[in-house]
Amino acid sequence: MSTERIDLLQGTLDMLILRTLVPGSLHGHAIAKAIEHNSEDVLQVEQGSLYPALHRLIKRGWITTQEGLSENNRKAKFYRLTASGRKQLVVESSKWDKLTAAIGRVMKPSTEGEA
Amino acid sequence: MKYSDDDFDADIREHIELETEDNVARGMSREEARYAALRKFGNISKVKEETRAVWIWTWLECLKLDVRYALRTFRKAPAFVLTVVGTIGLALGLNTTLFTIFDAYVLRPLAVHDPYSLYSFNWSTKGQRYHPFTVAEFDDVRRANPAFSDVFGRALVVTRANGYQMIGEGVSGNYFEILGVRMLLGRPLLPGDTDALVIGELAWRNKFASSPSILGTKVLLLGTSYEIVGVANGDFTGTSQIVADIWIPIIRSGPNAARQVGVIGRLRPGLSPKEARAALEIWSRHETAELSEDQRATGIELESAATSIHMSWRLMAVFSPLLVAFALVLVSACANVANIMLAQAMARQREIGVRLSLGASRGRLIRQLLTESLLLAFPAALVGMMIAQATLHLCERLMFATAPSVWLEIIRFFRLEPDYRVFFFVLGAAGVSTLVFGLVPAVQATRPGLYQGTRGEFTADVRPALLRNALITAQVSVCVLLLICSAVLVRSTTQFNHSNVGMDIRNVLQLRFTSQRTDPKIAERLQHTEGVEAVAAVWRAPFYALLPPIPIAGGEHVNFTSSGFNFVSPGYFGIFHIPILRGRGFSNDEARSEASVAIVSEKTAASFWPHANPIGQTILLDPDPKQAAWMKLPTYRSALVVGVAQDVMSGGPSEGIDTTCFYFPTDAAGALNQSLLVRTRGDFGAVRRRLDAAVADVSKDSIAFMIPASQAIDLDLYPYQVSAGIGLALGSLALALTLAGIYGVLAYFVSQRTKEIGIRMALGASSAGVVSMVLTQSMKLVALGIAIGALLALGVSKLFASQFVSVNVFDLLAYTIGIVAALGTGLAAAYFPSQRAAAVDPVTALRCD
Repeated sequence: MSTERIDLLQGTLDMLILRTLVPGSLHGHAIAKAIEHNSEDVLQVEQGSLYPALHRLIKRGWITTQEGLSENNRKAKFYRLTASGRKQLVVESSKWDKLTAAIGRVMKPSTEGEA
Repeated sequence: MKYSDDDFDADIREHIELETEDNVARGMSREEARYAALRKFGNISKVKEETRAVWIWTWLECLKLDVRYALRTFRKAPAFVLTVVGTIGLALGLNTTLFTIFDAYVLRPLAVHDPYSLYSFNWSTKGQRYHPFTVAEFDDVRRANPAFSDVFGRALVVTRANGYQMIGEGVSGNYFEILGVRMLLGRPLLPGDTDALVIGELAWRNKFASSPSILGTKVLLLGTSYEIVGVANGDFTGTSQIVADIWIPIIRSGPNAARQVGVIGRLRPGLSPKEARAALEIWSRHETAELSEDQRATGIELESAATSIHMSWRLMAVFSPLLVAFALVLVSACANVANIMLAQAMARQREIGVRLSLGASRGRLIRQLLTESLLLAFPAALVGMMIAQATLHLCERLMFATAPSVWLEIIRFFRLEPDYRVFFFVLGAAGVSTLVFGLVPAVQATRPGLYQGTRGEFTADVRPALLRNALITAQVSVCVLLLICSAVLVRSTTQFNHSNVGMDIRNVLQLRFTSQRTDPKIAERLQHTEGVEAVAAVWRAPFYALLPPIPIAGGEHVNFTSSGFNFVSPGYFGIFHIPILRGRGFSNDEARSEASVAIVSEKTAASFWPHANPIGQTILLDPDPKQAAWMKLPTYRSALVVGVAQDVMSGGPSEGIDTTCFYFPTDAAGALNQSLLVRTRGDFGAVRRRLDAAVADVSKDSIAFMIPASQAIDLDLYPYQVSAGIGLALGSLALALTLAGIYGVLAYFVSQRTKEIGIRMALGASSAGVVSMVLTQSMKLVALGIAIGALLALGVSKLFASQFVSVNVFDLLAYTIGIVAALGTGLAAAYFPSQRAAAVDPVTALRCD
């Protein structure tokens, strides 16, 4: 477990949520946990900030909600990717790839070659 | 998804609960775990706010889109927008005008302290609903005071002062104290005042040039010198529906003593009107128990005195014809707008269908259409407000321009300006009209299924065409009816000439006195006033409705026949230059003794003695002694006919030439005589002032009214001219509405049948044929409407003729005007839709699907 934690970059939360939902629908808490877990606890999400982002995605039609049961057998709201959400994720992640590659090139110019 | 605060609260609770359990599993204590979860979640209210903002922003965004979309639609159809805004605006404007007047008299409370606790009290007797209280009876009510904390009395005062007609109230000393009226200058009337006078702000400005030094001025009024002690604030106009110029202490005795005292009191605190009514009824019955049966109180009237006119069912009944006329125009305006909106919505069915199939929800579409109607209703409200303002000003100016001047001297205006109450009324009306005009078409148009929607096909039976057609026919009939009737009235009143009455009315003044009787001393004094040629006394002055009838028999009329009669002094015939055709006039001795002789009119002579000389004949009279108190009856049972006078219109133009008229002799000393007639020469204004002064010279009585005989005739005609004016205005409005109505229906018709028209044209129909198809569709309705309207007009003008003899029922020109106007309107309305139909390109029309 790393002790160093990094605040999330502006605008990347939406993408992370979409990515997290690819395997299947999850409820809010599970999404937060998944993001933290998959980043090996480096990415620090203030869990509340997840919700405005979720609603923004609903509004744009990229995810929808449905009722389901949580691990402890209680009713919870599950979030699921829509078709247009999937498309959006492709767009976003290709943008992200370009961005990180560009930033990488600037930060470590040509000495170590492409990773 | 719909956002809801409650849902979201549950989501957050659930989230924190799950996190807490995770923490517990990691080995924290329950309390610690919960705190950690909360810390990790962050600021809950901030999260909620940000989430809510996501959705509010959507709503605003949608609204912005809707508005922009609506404006784009409007730009595409400016004629539609103008028609709708104009129609709703007109309807609202008309409504607002009526409401402003209603508000000024019936809804707006008097500008006094706590107006809603004021009640007027009266008891009713066997014969009278409102018993006229004397000053002494008012004193009794005040002393006993069964239900009020205090009571004041008021009586109408009509007189002339400083050369002006003055109307005001004679009031008890506690009047101003009870009402709590604010004074502009000086002090109010106080108990104990006898010759003090308070003047209204309007009269102060108009009749005393806003003189700042008015306090202390003496004014000669009713034979007494009054001193002006105060000017009442302009928002207070007295306690009756007439705007008061002056207030004086109530006159308790003498010829001018108040005869009908209105009693108004403040209900004792804690007493309900019902309890007060009970208390007053018991008191009234007890108070009048000793009196004769006719005088005993049988019940009481306790009515709110908070407004000028007490709102009641009776009031509503009186004004119902006016309300019905206005309501008719309003309803047809509303129906028109709904029709036009529906036609517009139908024309956009394809668009709506496409949007439905692309996934727009029905609610979203309805919201879009509602936004459009709201956007139409607000400018319409604005237009309505402006129209109301303009109408009120125009009415006021028209009235000043057209009303007989004596009438303007007598009437006083309330300030008629739309205020906040009216503003809310219009706003409410705009809101309602939005719902009615917008919602119905919106729901109708979004109903169809997807399949027909995309094909632009909708069931034609959305609304029965029959109803729409009936509506158009009814509208045409209403406007033809209004136009013809007002044209008939206008022509009848303008054709009337003063010479038609058969009397020379130039320079004749009719005087009525505050004491409501004639005084021989005054008559004598007037006779010797400079500028006066002759003076006569009369019971009923001419031109104020039909002569009262009594049963008279004689000659061919063996049985008693109801016949018109009047009492006149010998000078009456001379003053009006009415020739005595046969026999002689009355002598002064006959006048003094009210002798049993009579002069008859030509028509009367022809009717009673067609084959004999009427002079020297005897007539028999059978007066019914149980008549109203003002009726002056002959004291004799038979009379000798001494002369025949030329026919005249004693009742005025609306009654026509007297069918029967018996003149009996009297003079100024005779009881119950109401008026003196004066023939003057020279400058009218100067003579009037001299008459005022001459009366004040010899009597405490004073002239209440001084009306030129010619203006009495104008007064008789004026209501007909006003009805003609209102009829003409409403008729023109109805015409404009009909234009819009026919246009709307035809536009709908054409858009419905585009495909059919296309097929017809593809099969070889010419444009002319298509145009004539559209025209036939509308002209059938118009022709039917005209026929119905003209028939109704015939009936209504016959009704007019029974009220107003000079009406020409079969005025061809008036009928032509009405019919041509309606026909022209029908053609004009049909022009654009028929052109659109003719322009249908068969290829495009058929490819549409």
